[in-house]
Amino acid sequence: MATWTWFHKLASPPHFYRIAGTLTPWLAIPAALLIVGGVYGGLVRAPADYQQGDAFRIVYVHAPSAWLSLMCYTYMAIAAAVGLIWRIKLAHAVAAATAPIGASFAFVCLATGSLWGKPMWGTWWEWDARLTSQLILLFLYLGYMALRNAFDDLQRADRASAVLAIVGVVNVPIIHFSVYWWNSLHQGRTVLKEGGPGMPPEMLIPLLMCFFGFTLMYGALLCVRVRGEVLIRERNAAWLKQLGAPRAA
Amino acid sequence: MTPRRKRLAVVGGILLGVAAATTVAMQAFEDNLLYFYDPSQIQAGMAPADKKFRIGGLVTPGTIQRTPGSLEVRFVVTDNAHSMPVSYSGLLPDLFREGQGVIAHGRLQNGVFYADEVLAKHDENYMPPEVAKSIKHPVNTTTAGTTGYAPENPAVGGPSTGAPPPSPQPHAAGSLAEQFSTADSIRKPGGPT
Amino acid sequence: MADFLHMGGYAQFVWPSYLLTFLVIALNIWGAVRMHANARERALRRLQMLPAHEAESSSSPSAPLAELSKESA
Repeated sequence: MATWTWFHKLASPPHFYRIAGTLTPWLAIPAALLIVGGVYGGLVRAPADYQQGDAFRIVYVHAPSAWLSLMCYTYMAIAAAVGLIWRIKLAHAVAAATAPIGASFAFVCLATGSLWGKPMWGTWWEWDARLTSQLILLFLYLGYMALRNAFDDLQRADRASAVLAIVGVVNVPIIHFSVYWWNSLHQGRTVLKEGGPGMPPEMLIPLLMCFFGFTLMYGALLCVRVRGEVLIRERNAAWLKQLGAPRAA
Repeated sequence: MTPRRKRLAVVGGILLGVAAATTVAMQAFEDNLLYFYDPSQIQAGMAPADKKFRIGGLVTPGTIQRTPGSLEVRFVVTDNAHSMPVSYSGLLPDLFREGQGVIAHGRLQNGVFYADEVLAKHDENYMPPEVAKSIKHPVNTTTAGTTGYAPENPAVGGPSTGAPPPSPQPHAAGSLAEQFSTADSIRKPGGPT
Repeated sequence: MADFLHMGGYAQFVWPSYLLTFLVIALNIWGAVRMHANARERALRRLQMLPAHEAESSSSPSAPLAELSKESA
């Protein structure tokens, strides 16, 4: 019962607006420190790979981007489903705010993968299962955003795009397992490998810093964007006036 | 409560339906999703004879022959059960070397694979699952003692006469065994391979 | 330093990857901040257009609005 009230309180726009505003620097600052530290570790401290030399350092931006694009889609689909089922406006706001972040990092993942694939594999692009499913992910994001834009009515945009987000989520496990289900050019996963990560600590730690840094960065970006989405959805609500009052948060 | 339950059921239904449709579609297109064939599969006549396809395997050490003054190169691709000579003229990726996992695209003619593209599959810890799977058997039955291939063995690509430098990572070879087992367990239940 | 910039011969692949990533991160930050600022701007304008008695329920209409504008700084 207590959880329920807490949840409803959090899900109420004025509360969320204030909490998100307070939370932003607490997410953004650690995110910046972790990303800068991880990139420094990856570019400077980590040794070159025994096979790939320095080209492997692209992993420090490629893999966290891939992770973020998948995590964002999963969150987006969950938020969309919650919004659809429980009619929570804030959930739709979270889904809408997540899409552009996920889309941009799906793009970064594909582009940096291409820049990595050219010298190592010998090709910019190959229609293998992992690459193709990741490209589909980008298209799903773009479709989601285009669908939202096609509606003038925000509520209808929320509901229609939510269905697309939910349908598209089947692609997430396909991307993840593609390298195990099919013969693919792309290698399997390194960090979450059974039996321990396939990297020595001096390579792994900067990578983990980048993973956590990117995740926190998503949290910070989400806070800012959801605040905007809340304002769009609540533009006539009485609580907006209270924002002007001396700040409690 | 009832309309909410209904919406929950609708969303769940959509998700289940799409997941089922995707699974069926993926099973149906399994052959097209098969990115490459290993030499054993080609030997067994699974590869298309009339059109181009990809062959995947390891470059057999000591078989790389370059024609001086040209980009022409010949080498043998193996999965340690069967081998296939490959002829190629063009630029090779930086990772191309003896013992490396490669994927060549081209056509099979008179027992020689004429490639128009050769890609390297980097295997910091990994190897193409199909190749590795094929390698596993002969090694385990005949040369396991000498090459010592086992999931605990830190030498990646140990079965390919140890051409790639031993991996500095302790967990390196574990991934190979996991990859086959993952692939096997997922493929076996009714999945066409 | 030159060695570092050279990236073992892979400079042309490594540096554009990092450049692109940080460019997209910067665009994300800029986009999010701008999106919130625009939404706030529009909300403020809507509030101003509300009938006077509604907007005045607490105090004078200009005071809270001025405070709301301040908060963005």
